[in-house]
Amino acid sequence: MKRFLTAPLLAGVTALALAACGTGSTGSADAAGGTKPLAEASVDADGALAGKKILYVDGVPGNALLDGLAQGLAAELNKQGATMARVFQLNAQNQIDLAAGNQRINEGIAQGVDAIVTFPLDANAIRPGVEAANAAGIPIFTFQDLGGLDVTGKLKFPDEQRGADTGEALAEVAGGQGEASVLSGIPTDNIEAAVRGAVKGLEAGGMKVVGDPDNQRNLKDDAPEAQRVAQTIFQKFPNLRALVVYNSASATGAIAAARQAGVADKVVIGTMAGEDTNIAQIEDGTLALSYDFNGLDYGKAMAGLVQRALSGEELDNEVVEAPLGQVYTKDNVGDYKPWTERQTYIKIPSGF
Amino acid sequence: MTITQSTTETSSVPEPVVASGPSTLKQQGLFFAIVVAMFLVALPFLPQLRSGPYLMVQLATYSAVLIMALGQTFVVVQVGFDLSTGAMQGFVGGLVFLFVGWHLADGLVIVLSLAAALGIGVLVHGLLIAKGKMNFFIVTLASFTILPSLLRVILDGSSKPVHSPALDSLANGSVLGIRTPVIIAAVVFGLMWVLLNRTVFGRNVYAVGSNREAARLAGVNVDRVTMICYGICALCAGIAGLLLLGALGAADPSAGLGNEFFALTAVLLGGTRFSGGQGTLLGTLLGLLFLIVLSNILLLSGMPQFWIGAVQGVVLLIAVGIDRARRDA
Amino acid sequence: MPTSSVVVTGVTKLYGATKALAGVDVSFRRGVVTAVVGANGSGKSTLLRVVSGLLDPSSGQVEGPSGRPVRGLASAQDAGIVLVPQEPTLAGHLTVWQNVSLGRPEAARGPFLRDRAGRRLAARYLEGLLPAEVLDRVTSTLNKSSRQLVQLAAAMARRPVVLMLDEPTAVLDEDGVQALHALIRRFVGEGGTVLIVSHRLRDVLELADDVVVLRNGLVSHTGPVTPQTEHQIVRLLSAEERENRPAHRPDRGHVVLEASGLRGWRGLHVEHLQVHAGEIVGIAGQSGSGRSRLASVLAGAHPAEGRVTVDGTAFRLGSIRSAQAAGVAYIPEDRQVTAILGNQSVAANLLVGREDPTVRRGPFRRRAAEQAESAALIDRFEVRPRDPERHAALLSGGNQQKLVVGRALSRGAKVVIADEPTQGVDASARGAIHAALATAAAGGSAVVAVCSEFEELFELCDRVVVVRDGSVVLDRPIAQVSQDEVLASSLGSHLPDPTTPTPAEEIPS
Repeated sequence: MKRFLTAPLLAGVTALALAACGTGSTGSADAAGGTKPLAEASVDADGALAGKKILYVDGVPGNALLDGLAQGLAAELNKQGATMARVFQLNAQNQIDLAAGNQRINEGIAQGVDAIVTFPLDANAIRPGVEAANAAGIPIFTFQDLGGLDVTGKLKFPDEQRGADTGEALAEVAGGQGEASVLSGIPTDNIEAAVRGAVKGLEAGGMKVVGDPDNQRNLKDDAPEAQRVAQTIFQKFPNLRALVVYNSASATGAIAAARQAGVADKVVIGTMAGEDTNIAQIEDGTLALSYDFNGLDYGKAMAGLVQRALSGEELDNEVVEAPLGQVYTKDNVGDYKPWTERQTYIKIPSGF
Repeated sequence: MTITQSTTETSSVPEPVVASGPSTLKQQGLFFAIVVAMFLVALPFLPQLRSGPYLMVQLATYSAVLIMALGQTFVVVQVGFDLSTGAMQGFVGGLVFLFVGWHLADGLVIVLSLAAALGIGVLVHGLLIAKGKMNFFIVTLASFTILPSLLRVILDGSSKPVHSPALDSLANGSVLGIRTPVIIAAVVFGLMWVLLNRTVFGRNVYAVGSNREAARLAGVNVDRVTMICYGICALCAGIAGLLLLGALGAADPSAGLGNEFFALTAVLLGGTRFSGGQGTLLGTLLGLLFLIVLSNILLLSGMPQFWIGAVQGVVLLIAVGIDRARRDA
Repeated sequence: MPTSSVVVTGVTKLYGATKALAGVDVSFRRGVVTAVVGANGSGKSTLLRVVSGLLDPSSGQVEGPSGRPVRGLASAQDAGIVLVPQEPTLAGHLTVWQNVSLGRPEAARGPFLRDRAGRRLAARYLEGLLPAEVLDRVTSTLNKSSRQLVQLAAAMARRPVVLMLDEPTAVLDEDGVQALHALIRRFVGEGGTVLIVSHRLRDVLELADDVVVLRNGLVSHTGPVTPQTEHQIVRLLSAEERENRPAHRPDRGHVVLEASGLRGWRGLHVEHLQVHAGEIVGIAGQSGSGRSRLASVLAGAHPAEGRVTVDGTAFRLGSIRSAQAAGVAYIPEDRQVTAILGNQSVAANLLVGREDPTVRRGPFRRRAAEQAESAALIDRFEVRPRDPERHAALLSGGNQQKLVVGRALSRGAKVVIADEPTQGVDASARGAIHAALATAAAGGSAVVAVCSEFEELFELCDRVVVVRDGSVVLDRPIAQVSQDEVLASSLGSHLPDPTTPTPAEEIPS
């Protein structure tokens, strides 16, 4: 009994130790892109929102875009004197769960928070939670302008504009003519809007859009699947000149596919939602452009909305447009600063 | 016992040797014909299939899955299933990211990553299943959740670029017009084939799968066979992980997940049975070729993407159903 | 008088290129017991399966009692043809009465079960076969003999017109055999038709009115059983039996196998046991006495406390590989479960576990040597058909057992442990296996054989060891012991015998 148990135990401990080293070492590893240790949150006790508790029901952990939104939101709220806790829409198995948001919102209501901000994964799934907050008289805000949710206020993402800007800029890189296509993702409202915009932008830039984005989806949201989908696109359209992809991991996958298919020097690739890794790819020359929407600014804009509501302003389905982002290509990539350097990232508590 | 020569030697009138039912070779010949026929039928409609470079890209893309499926074949033949091969494929990417971050030499990175995969296969899966008498499904299900979780911890939840010239050339290079992943898959296939068909260990794998208790009483070290099989399976998944990482140039937190079922589908299509003791590596290769041809036809012909999984599943049922019916007849 | 109940016309059955049945024409009479006999692989089991609808014939036809053709299981069941297979096919986790009443319309009303009716039904059909107490027992807790009787009751509950029994006495104990005979006589007395396939020639001929002898898939003799024909049939069959059994060795050599202080599962408690070179020791005892357990411990297959040595070298108890390294070969009981690799080839079955340099070079197999070796073993142990690539599951029981024996005896073992080496095999395979064990002993091996049949014990062994409640209660040369003595000591009842006092023994209270 003992003999056979020791080995797996050792292996398990080793694996965990390796993993622990991993988290420790990413701070110094070049490849990691230089994540700095998080600073402690500092709340301004004299701010206008002093003593207020804001619950942020976020999507999933480990997503740079969502982290940016949360950091922008938290920094601004803390500056105003409010404390913010961030929880995720995960089930007990730590898997993404559309319904878990309701649970989180109800927990917030039970704790008597002063306002709830949420990043809905699905408008219908989150509706019971929103209604519960309304019934409890707690102001509730959503990122994105999702149809049919009766909330205090919402921050509309300029998704279609983001797509259009990306498409037009990529068309320009590609020389303004020839075939182009779009690699889409899971059909959510904001991805659909961005893809619509990208098609318009490519066409406005003088390119002919081929293929059907509805049938070119990276349904797993990761790089390996994007590689497979992009491969199909490259095979179907051997004369393709430009490919817009919907997110950062898909850019990585599309680049790998282009290399494998031997079309890396013919096709230019651009992403509608870039991250730090994509900037490195632009520097390598493997990626043509990356649209950087400023998540920190989105978070700050949301904080402004919250502050208005908590300062006594009567808001009902108030829509605020989030600020536009910036297209980076090899010409201006030197100006890029990672989000983590634009603002000091803080440790956001998961409870009050 | 010293008497080994039989006295019947002189009276050995040759009796007619009778056939032993449908041979596996014949079955595989039929399956091969089906794969080729599918390809030929699709050829006039899908001009891409006529392009040599395109086919090479396809082979290169699926080389990693083939390697995983070869390893899985060992485990299924000895009765079992490693649910964690896809997770292992991704996890090895995370290890490479770690080791590259420590500035280890490329060769060392590869050796350490594969050694870790082999170690988990033998010492965790194999030991718990063989000696600990735990159910293979539960043990590998645990790895199926643990490994991706550790991978997210290592990668801090997001995709991380990894610059490794050696892995890059392994995944993207080519020798004499043949892509390196295809060469690696061919070499792995050859080694695995020798292991399964020409060694005592290989024969024991079939014996254990056919009747574990009988194999034990006949003197086969059944626990060691099981442990080595899980080790081979994890090692193959590790090699597949290196290829995937090299191709992407990045370690992805969800890399590999889902590939275990794709590889398993190829194994089952190739005639390997969950009941054990049956199956060949050639069958697995043909099973995968079948899936590649099928998914190319579906994708290139513009089949709506949401439907592809359903069609593949139905095809699997039909293929296995035909196989069964033919056997029972 | 009795007319034909089942008529078989021109039936052939092909397995690949093998003809298991090659044009059988035969009819079975109503109110009569017909014995179907024949050597291993003669097609008798196949005929039974064809008549019972389990197998479709490749050509030809079977007519049931109503005169309508039988094809497929459903039509056979409609015609009242019921097969009792050799291996019980009961649901082990159900109770006895549930198994007997399973699927009976009397035990159900529409989709709902009527438990009381089902239990009554089962009690009715079990009467005379098993005591009523077993009705509520979980079937898997019964011994093999009782399970076979439950199977028989379940068959009778289907109200058969034609009852077919495949080796019905193979696993039955003495009481069971009596009960079976009574049941068969009653059944044919009421006009039923009975077909029995068995290798226990004496058993069937005693019961049968008619006999059908099969040979190579053809009917070679058919007719009534009379004292004259009985003799003829025995001669017909024994023509295929080997006669070359070597004489028993008069001298035994040095002690090869020695066990001391064995303590283990199910009260195994053996102080001392020796087996000499050239000796065949038979282990007798009732089922459940620990005779098989003792054999498996001596073979290294199950752990125990104590010490077992081969030529003075101890091996690790419970490690089959350690035992094999010390020179022990094992022929386990119940080949389907513990010995045969069903979906592997004959060659693989013969060579599995072999790691000697004859067939391997380092980790690699020597394939030419393997082929030569398996061909030689097929010849030596007369495995039929002589096809090294055929799956073992397709072989008859006797030929499968030859594979198991061949596997064990091809290793040049110093000790051979055989647990029921001829269970469920026909007379010719039995002869071949006995001869092989005798040859091994003649070559200097120490042979231990668990024998549940007295016939085998006295035919094969030089010495008998009787086990009761895990302990050795009798250990004597075969020439100095009678069947009655063996039976008495295995049951624990003393036989007054002034000339040869039994060793001191304790009777558990």
